[in-house]
Amino acid sequence: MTTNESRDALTTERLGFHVARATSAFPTTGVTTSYFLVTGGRVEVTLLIGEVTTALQNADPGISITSRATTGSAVVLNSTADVSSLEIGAFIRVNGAGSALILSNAGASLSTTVGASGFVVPVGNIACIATTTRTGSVKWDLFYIPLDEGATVTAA
Amino acid sequence: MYPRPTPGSTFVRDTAKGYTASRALDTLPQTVASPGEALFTITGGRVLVTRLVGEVTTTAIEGTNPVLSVTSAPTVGTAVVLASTVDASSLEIGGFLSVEGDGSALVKSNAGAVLATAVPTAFIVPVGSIGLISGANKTGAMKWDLTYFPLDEGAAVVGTTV
Repeated sequence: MTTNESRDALTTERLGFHVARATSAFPTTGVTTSYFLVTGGRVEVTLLIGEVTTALQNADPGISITSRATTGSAVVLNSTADVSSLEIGAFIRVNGAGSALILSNAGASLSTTVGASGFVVPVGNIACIATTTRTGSVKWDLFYIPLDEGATVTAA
Repeated sequence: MYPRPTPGSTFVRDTAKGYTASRALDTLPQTVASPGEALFTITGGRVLVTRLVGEVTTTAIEGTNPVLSVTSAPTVGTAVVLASTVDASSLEIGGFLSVEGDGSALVKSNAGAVLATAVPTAFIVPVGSIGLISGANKTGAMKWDLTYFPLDEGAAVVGTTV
């Protein structure tokens, strides 16, 4: 179990399938932008994390992450955090607890009490909402386990 | 009746906790500030760490104030404290120091067990190193073991050479 060929297999065993979204700037003020599309059924998200690739502008770029069901009401996965001045390599972690996004410098994204068990989202999309228009760029990675047959996630 | 196949212990450990990286027994660093003496090196991308435990081996830790902490130092960016300072004085041979990875103090225990914690160990570290910081010159020797899942293709962790 120590070969490169088995690395993805072990990570997939633990975290599920991996979907990467290319780095991009945040949406402009008041705009909601889909980051990931969920189709075919429900999935359990085991890890959703953003990594800063271009440092974020140092004035109030507040963002939040929401799950928007195709049918029914949206649910805030993590509420607004002020991500201003996050350095290159910094992490934005979505633990799906409804509380503020969890921010950290590049050294690590720390363990969390809540959210280790993952969260469930239905058919629809996971979206980012920005309160202001600011420079900076973030790439996102999502790992998931399908709960319904045929359920998949793709980057928007 | 055919006997049911029994997975080997390595297989079970790997599927549950991920790959294992070990750092051989070494004496404690002597008054080394952040980012500390590197225990592990991360290359190729980010990893999810599922366990990080040190065990006192061959030499008990000296009985006065050898304060220790553990930090992740990225190749690019600012270091983050994984486990803050604990007074590990008089920790016996076989005693443990466990990193929850939530920034709280190292969890110290005698040889009997590393107890369950409220925060499950699941922290992400980037390319760089994980280091042990020591606030004093004290005797004592420890070995460290880390389990992880690669998040980026090619990401790996190795124990530093003693």
